[in-house]
Amino acid sequence: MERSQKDSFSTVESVFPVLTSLVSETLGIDEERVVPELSAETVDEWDSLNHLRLITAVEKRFDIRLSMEEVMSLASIGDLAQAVANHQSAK
Amino acid sequence: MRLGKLVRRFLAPAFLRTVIYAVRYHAYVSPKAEVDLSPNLHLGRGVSISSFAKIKALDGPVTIGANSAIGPGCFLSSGTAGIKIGEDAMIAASVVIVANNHVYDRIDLPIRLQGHRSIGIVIEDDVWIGANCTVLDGAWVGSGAIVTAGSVVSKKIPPRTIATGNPAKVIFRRR
Repeated sequence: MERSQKDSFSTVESVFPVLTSLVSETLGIDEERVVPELSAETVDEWDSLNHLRLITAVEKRFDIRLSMEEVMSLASIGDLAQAVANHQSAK
Repeated sequence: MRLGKLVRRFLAPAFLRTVIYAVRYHAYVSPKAEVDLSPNLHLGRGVSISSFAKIKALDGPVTIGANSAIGPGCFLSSGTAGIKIGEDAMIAASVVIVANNHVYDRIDLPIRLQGHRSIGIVIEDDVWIGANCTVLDGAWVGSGAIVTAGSVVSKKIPPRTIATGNPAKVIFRRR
């Protein structure tokens, strides 16, 4: 089971659908608005607190732990998807 | 005791309290702050208490650790169990920290006549409490924790976490 989950989330394409619902739920925006280019600059709801809420939700869902440098450097949903995929591949 | 309270609260001039706390603790207490001149109040070296802060420490202990700062307009009331703030803590403007509650067990008596209950409040080292937070009796904020502006803390906030809301809940673990 663990093996299959690792394989299923090791690419950005596989991570993105799950990430979309997490982002939509955490930021309170429609799923249609969630695209890889989505960033704090383009969404009013993405403030510093929601950024941390989003990171915590993502870590819990994908069972990973991002470093503080990663947390602070993530500028877009695409970056976040890439970070999740990287961590899943490294598991 | 009542006379002693009156003297300490109203007859000791503000600048005198500033001088006393500077000499005794090497702490800065603004002359515009209203800080009880009380043996219950213990300040660490380098503590700063800003203008318009009010600290009531006649009924129980208030301890503020070295290099901690109490922002403008804060209100601290010790209750009987007291308030303990660690070192390097930052309490932002207009934070309310009250270590007692009214007893309201009976409905045949006005609440104001039923007395108080006090458990005490602990805020550990290196904590940042954001502006306009309220910290209620029984609260315990672990070292390195951050409480975001406007939150209400009534229970335990674990160390090195970021908490927000009413009641304050952990949204992130610092790393």
